[in-house]
Amino acid sequence: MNINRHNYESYLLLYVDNELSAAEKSAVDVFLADNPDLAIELELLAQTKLSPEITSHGNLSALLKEEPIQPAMLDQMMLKLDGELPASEASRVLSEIQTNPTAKKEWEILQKTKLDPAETIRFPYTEGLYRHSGSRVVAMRFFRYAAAAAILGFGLFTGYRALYPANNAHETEIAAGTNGKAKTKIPGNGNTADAPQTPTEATENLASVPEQATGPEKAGQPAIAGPVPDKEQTFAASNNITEKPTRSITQPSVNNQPEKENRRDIVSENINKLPRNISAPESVELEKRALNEKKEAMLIANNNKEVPQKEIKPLTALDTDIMQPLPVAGARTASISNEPPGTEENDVLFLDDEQVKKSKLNGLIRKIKRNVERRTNIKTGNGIKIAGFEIAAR
Amino acid sequence: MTEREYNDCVKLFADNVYRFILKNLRHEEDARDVVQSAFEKLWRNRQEVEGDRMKSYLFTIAYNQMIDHIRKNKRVSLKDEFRDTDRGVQTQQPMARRVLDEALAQLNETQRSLVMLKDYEGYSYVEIGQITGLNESQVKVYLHRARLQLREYIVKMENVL
Repeated sequence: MNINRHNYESYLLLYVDNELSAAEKSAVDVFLADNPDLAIELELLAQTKLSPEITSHGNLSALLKEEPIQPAMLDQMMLKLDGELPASEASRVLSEIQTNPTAKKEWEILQKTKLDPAETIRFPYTEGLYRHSGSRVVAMRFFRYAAAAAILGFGLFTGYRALYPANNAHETEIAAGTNGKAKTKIPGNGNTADAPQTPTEATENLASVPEQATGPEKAGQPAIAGPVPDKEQTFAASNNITEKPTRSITQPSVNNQPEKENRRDIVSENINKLPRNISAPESVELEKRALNEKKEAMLIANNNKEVPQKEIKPLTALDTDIMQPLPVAGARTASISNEPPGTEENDVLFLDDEQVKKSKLNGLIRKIKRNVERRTNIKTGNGIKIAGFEIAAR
Repeated sequence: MTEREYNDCVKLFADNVYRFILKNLRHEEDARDVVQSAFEKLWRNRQEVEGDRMKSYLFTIAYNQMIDHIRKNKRVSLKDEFRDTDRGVQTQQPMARRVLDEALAQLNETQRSLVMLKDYEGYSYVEIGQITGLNESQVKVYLHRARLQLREYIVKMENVL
């Protein structure tokens, strides 16, 4: 072994780690004695060596494995927790739990798994679940019936007024106008109707007219001299007097639909044609007469609608002869209004009714009425009208 | 069961049934529908129900309707929805109860129902078997498994906390 200053470090480390044999250790000691400066280095190396320390764990019980609880005991605890054990068995299990720390700990944990029955959650819709089979009866007293009747009556009245405003005013006017005209004298008949005539009476008066009217016609006299038998006949007379002299009122052309539709045109044409067929003095009279007849025709078609008084006035001032046929026309107005409703109804709708009843609501109702009539073949106007509703009379 | 008994049943058990269904479904609207349909069915079948059995009959109807509802909506992932509702319902609950509710949510619906019927309503194994259609042994085994599962969850959460 040759230790020198070039390889001494490895021998010193081995010396510190006690890895040298006794001979080698003595050789290192001799070398360090010859080189005292290297002895300090050996001391430093020796200080890096750890000294063995004695330490204790302190809580060895925490490291010990717990003895597992027996399954039978766990079952008993479960049954005790669920309250399924008889009283005697339950007390025995409880005592075992108290004596066994492992079982006690397990029991404490198991008790935490039990839900608290005191915990409440309210069902928010309980009221909707209740059932009440008996219905509540509310007694109606007299004033409630009266109030209901008043409301119903007011509603019906308002509805009727809203639906037929023009009709009501129209009927009022006609009632006044008919009473006034019924007092006029009927020519040829000689009867004077002092009291207001009913439509039936007017029809009777009119029925006697053709017999008197046919007399002058047969004699070749113009129809204007005598009472006018029919409005169509009047138009014919003003147009061409000699064309249909024998036409009587007993053959009315009221049911002739094209003739009715062209009534306005006929009146205007007749007025235009007057000067060609009749002499000048007569033509003036005939023109006025035609105007009167036009107004009368409108009056007839309007179903007893009153003609404004100011339009009739000029005629009454001109000639009393011209005025004579007017009452006849008035009487005829009443008689025509008594004609079958199916024949006269279209006239009512055709002429001035549209001006009077022109409103969106009335138009709609009229359309519905026509549609219903067309589909169901129900003819209105025969029944009794109560508050705007018609009841069929059979 | 008379009308009066039915109304008493509503008064006494509506909240209990609602709690039972709500804790299972964890969805208020669905729980309300199930409860209403359960009472509707109870009213329809009131002639067949005796007065002393109306509570178990009501819970049987509600349980079956809840199972039908769960099966019907099985394809819908309700887990996230349950968690949202869970937070909303239990924000003010103490920690122990919240942990227990979370543990309860880990159980399947049968185990959960068994635990609630036992703890909330106090039914015996036999009665729970009649309500859920299981026999007594099954109820006992399922219930004990459920308890151990709850215990594991609670211990784990306590260690975490």
